Amino acid sequence: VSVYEVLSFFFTVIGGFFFFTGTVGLLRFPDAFSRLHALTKADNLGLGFIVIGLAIQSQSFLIAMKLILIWLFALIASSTSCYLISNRATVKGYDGH
Amino acid sequence: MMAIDVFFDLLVAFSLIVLGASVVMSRDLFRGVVLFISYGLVMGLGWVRLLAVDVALAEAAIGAGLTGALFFNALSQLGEKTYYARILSQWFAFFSLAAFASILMTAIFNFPEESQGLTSEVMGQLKEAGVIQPVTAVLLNFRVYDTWLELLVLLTAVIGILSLRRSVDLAAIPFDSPRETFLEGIVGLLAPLMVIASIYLLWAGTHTAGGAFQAGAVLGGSGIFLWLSGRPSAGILDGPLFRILLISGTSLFLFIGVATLSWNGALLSYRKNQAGTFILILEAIATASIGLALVSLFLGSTSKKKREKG
Repeated sequence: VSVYEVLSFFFTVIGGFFFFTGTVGLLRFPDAFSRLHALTKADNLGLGFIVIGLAIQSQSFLIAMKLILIWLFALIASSTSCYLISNRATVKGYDGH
Repeated sequence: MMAIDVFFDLLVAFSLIVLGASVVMSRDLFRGVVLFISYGLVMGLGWVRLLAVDVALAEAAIGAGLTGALFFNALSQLGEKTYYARILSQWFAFFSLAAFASILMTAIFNFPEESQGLTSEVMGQLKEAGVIQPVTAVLLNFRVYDTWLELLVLLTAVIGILSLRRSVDLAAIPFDSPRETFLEGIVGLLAPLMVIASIYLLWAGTHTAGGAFQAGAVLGGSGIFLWLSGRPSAGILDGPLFRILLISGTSLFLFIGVATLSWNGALLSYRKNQAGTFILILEAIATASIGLALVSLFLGSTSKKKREKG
């Protein structure tokens, strides 16, 4: 087992943990805003760790750059949709329950 | 390692069945559409696991993305149905789906026990095809007829929608002026990148997963985003230009069909030295045509209420 494999395993497991907590938050939190918070914050971080893990595993600069690009686009998409959903909820006077 | 693969495949298959059942049984239509989009994404994952990346791309872009957007459009215009109309339409849907499902099941049970498929034929002829990607070779050379007919289906749908709106182009369809500065800015950043991604997919189709339909879907998606963020999108193409672009894909197939008929003696049969050029031209024009057709489907089916407001 090489040091890369250990590092890759370590980062993807941490990433998986953040996805898990984000999902628990989505299912358990009481209103739309805190659910959005749990989902976007935890998933963005989780995806970041998984991207680090996969980039180490690929051992290729080009693939690593592509993975980071995917992460950046996911960040843009999730923060945009988070803002749009919560803004819509605020405008519509939706209390979130 | 093997066990994890099998576990993952089972998870995908199980999720598909559960999601499919929830789409059909969902009482709330909005929830049904959201579940349908999730179903499309998991379906795309399933196609990746079957090593059909081309189908996966098309499924995610058209099946989940564009069809989902069209469903949301339709949903926002649905009026309240009377009780009896609802019951009637549900029974109608049930019987037509049951009939279709039984046809599919009959087909599955009539599969030959051992079939090699057409893989060896395709691979044997690939040298003549003009591209090294077998899927593109089938879609734009061996079975180019099918692709032509698919473009015609799309064109017919657009003509139908525009006829219902009694408009000849998209310029007549009013768009909401921008309300969300944030959305406007993000789309301004993403739309040009989507156009680049579309060109990449088109180019990739000659040697790896990609092609006209995937590229056209991404192009169409960028048009829909532009419109949703309060821009005229494809509406800036006025009358003649819009119509010429819309029919350019099918017309080019017709033109190349006639040309090959007179040069090579058979409809849409290329010679080896022509194949690569014909495929590239067809794919490029078809991408523009498909993209515009998909934008037109979305814009043409947007709520008419917006016309009154704007």
